Amino acid sequence: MAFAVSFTRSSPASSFNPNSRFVQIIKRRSLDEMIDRGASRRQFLRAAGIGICLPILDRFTCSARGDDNTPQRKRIVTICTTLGLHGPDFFPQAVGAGYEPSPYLRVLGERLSDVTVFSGLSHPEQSGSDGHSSERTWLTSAAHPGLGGFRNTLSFDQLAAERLGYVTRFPSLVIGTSHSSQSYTRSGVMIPAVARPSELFAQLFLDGTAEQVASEVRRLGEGRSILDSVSEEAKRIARTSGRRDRQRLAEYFESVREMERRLHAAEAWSQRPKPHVDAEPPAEIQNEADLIGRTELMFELIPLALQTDSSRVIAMTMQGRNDVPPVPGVSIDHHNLSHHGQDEAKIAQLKLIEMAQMRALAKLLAALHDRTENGARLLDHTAVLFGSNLGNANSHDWRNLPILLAGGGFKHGEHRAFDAENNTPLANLFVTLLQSQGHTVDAFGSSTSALSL
Amino acid sequence: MFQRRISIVLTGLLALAISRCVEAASDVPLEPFLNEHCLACHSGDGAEADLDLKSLAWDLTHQQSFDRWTSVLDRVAAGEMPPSSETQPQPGERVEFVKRLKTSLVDVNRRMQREEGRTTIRRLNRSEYEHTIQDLLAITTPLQHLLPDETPLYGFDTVSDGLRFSALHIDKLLAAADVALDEAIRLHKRPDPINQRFPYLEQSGIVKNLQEKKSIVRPLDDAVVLFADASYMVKLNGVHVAEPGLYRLRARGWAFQSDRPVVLRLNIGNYQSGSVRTAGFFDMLPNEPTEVEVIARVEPNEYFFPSPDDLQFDTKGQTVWNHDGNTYSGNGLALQWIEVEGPLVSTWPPESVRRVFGDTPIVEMKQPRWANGKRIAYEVTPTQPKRELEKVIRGFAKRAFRRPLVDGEVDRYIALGVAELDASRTFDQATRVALRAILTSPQFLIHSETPGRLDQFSLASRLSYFLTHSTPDERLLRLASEGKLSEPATLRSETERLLDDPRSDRFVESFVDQWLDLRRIDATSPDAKLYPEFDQLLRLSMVDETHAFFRELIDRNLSTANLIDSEFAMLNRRLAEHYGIEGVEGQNVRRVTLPSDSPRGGVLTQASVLKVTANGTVTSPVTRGSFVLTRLLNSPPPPPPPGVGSIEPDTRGATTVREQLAKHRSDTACASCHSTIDPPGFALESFDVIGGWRAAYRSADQGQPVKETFRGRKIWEYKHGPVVDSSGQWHDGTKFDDVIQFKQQLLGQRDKVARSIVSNLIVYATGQRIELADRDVVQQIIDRTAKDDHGVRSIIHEIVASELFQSK
Repeated sequence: MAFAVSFTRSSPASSFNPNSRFVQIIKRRSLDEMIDRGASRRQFLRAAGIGICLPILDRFTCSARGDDNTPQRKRIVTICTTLGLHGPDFFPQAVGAGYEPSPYLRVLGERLSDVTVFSGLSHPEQSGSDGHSSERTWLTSAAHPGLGGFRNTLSFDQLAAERLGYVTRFPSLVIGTSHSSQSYTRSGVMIPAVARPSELFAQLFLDGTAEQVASEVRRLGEGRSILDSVSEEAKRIARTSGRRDRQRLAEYFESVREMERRLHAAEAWSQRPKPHVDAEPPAEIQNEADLIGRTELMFELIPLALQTDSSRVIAMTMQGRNDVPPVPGVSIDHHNLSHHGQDEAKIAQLKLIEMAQMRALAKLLAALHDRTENGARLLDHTAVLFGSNLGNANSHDWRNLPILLAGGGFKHGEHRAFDAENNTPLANLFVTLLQSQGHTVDAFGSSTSALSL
Repeated sequence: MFQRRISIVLTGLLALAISRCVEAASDVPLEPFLNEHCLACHSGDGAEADLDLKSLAWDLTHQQSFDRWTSVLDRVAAGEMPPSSETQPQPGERVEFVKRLKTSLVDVNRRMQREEGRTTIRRLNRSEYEHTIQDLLAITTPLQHLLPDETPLYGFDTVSDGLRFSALHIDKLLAAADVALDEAIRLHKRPDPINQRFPYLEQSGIVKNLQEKKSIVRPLDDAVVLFADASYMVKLNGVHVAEPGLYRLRARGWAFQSDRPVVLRLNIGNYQSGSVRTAGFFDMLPNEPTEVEVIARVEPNEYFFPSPDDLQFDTKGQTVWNHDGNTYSGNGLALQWIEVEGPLVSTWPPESVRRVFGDTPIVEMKQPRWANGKRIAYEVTPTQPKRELEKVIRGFAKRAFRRPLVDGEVDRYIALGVAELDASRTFDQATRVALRAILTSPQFLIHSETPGRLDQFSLASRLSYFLTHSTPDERLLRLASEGKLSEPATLRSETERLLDDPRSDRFVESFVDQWLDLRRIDATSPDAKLYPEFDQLLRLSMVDETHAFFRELIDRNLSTANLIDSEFAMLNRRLAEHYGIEGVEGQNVRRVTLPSDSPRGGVLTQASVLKVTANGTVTSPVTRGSFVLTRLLNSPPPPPPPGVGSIEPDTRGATTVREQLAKHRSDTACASCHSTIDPPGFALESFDVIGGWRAAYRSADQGQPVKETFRGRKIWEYKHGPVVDSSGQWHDGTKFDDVIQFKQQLLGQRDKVARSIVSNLIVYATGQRIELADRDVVQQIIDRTAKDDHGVRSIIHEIVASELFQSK
């Protein structure tokens, strides 16, 4: 076996600086190593954060059942529609509990009791290279996107994914209606979104043939041997480099090592059967203009992904488009409608699109409400953050964002209004969500505190 | 290092810190000036602009603190600080302070550059990666879309600090190498070539449409007339692309019932992504059959279709779909046939196989085998596999690393390949693993540069990536190995050679697109009601114009002042129609002398720039003004202070953006910046969101009906709204009436434009922003090219000749 060396070499953790930020991840990712070292099943489960599900047979599939007793298995789903939501139709007039729902909120029906609506939230200092650059920072809160030396920062979904590691097959799912996403790595690189529902379905639920699995395992092994060689070369070059060059090479080196760990985890997961769900692979919608249809297909997969515990973090981007969506009554392209210029006819058409988006959200919330897990609704274990990076798309205003939070076990039913002139950082809400998933975090990006809910 | 804090009490320490930090210390200390003129506002909690000079560390090796001191220097030097409301320093006092501070900063900056190099080692960006691999392997496979988006810094995706690594990159690089090697190592049976003519009259979509009661097409004896863009109907049936590669598309047709040419666009559609791209567009002449041809890269399972670009309306302005093709009397496109030929390969196995395996023998197999759904018909048959594997890997590594190999640096990659052979895998599989490693290696991805002057090979790479976006060719590498490349005459003639090479189009496009933000050309679609004349041909042409314009400045060594205003434009018929210029035939972009009263000329009045600075519905003088200051004049305005609202666009026809802005500008806090930002934008108000000239705003609601016609048809979609006022007043009070006068006045700032081009080219070419110590170099290049009136080609030569370009 050509790759025997790379398969059996010592775990990456042993050769690593214990003070590195990667150690935390390794600790959470060390399931496979523990198994290799013959750790007890109980140790393995504890490390996985799965708790007690011992009687359940197969050590690999217990998390796919949904019948174990795991109160701490909290999920975060974020959904952003990048062309804003018409404010007068989104924000309720009254504040607090018992407010009269706005036209958009009315679409959510009974689920409105599971929702908190926010006004007066935004990321500070978002004026950027163009009117839509706040798209890039919706999940990061980095200031002045696109200007001069701008470099994005880690998005909060990826922080959650980093902390969780490979307890699930996918530390996070980054999905969307196009390949652009709002999820960014620590070095400020955008993670491309999976844009095809059938591809997502296949990744989540379709096992390859034995031959495919074997070839995939071989490919992953080959990848690890390659990475082993190139990282040694990087180390060699770094020995004679200056300080800044060495830092850059170290970044390469760390990226390679991180990828090796991922390949290792992927190798382990690739040999475990995927969860089986009672659903057909979704048909593809070829019409790229069909933002709503493509969104709905993705939304149907979200509850399945969560219930099978394939991932606990999902970030979805509904990417605004320059074409006419097939929504009855709409004849002008979406982006253009968002710049309605107060033209009543355009606003009317824009509302048709946005109402359809709200209906898609309502369906997602209903599905999360209908499914149960450990006797509670899936919705109670799933915090859904929905909104936009534009408060007023007509003027590219990035303040006073339309934001709502559903589920996640929070107390809901209110309109929480913050100061419209002096907005509260949206990142405060991110901190709350991260904490609710059990991460020890007291600040994120531009946050000033956690937002109490 | 010298980590000290400025303190009024501890001035002695500060002086000590500075004198230790600065080798050539002058006699005048900084503290008295700071104490007297700065600290009253800039100290303690709540310091103005968050600049607390008392606690700002005097550690100039620390980037952030260096940058803050640099901005102190700039503001004081420009006379902006202390503000006019405060007591002003004596002129001599200011000069001394500036000199002293600058010396300190520049010295530290120079030392850093000397010790570590100005540019941190940088990796290939994804487009350089694509071209490099394509050139190394002789393939045309698109690769950059497989890699993560780049993060441009200081305007360009070549800047080292933006070119970082993440695990995501490593993941995608492994995958991209796979794709490239899959296409390079093609040992399967030679694909059956396609070489076929498809008469359009016989196409099933056309036949079907002709059978309908009312058809939109008309059959002729040997051609079919298309009266509308109907992609579903005209998709070319009967051709199936199985092999990726270059294909030649040819078509024959003419403009029917028309006294003007009609545009034929040849498109390639992709079922998988649902996307469509244009392979080429051509003017088809009235009643004169013309054959046209284009070569394009095509992926398996892609399809072809023709479309007429400008035939959507009848003379009344109604859609042509209301008509019957058999009786319709309007313009049409008669299409006789389309031919498809490809893949265009001269040898099989293709050249890429030789690039990988060199002269290792390759023979046709007696017993083909199947692998990954392909019939493998050739095999590599080395007589001494391990020795030849090593030779193949060394040969490839040397080209991939763009320099001679260092002892032992490919041993690991060879070991990878040998391990595969030992595991009984075939020679090509073993080679593949090693090459995949090489294409993911730091030696391939990261330019090898060491502090000080670049060695010959590093210089070859820097020059080649600057001007061709790719790996140095054989000639450059030969000159490098002979030690001749750095000779000034050689470097100059090589620069000439590369600028004349078609590969330098990659540089022109990459630089211009980033400098003028043209990658956002599709960020908005013009409102179809307000801009019914907007079509794909115009969109493609406007970007071509700007590329061709910059190309012309390089080719003829024309002055950067042409970027403000020029006596010529680079146009095709579609653009000339858009600009209202007569006598331009054909869709190839060429130099056209502008009428003396034309508002066009320069980049600001090019449709591409006007489009990317608008949002599809309305224009904003603020956006355009800021664009002019940032991109052309190299002096970006500060971002708006937090909490300032933006203008609410209103297209109902009752107010103009100027009226709305007036309110904004009446606030003195806003006026201080907007008096500088807005004027260029006001001048450009004469141009709409697609760069057309306008005397009045187009209105969706209120206004006068439009009497003019477009291509002989009536316009009913919009009305004439309020009249455009393009007059304005510069910050210094100088007034202009319109854009023509504005550009004349702007020519007075031509030095700033030269500076902008020099600075931006340096950033682009060297991968590092203009640092304080580089300002002198920028000035030298501006001075040296003054005799050529800042010709763009001269500027490029001076940059290449500079020590800055030739050092890490």
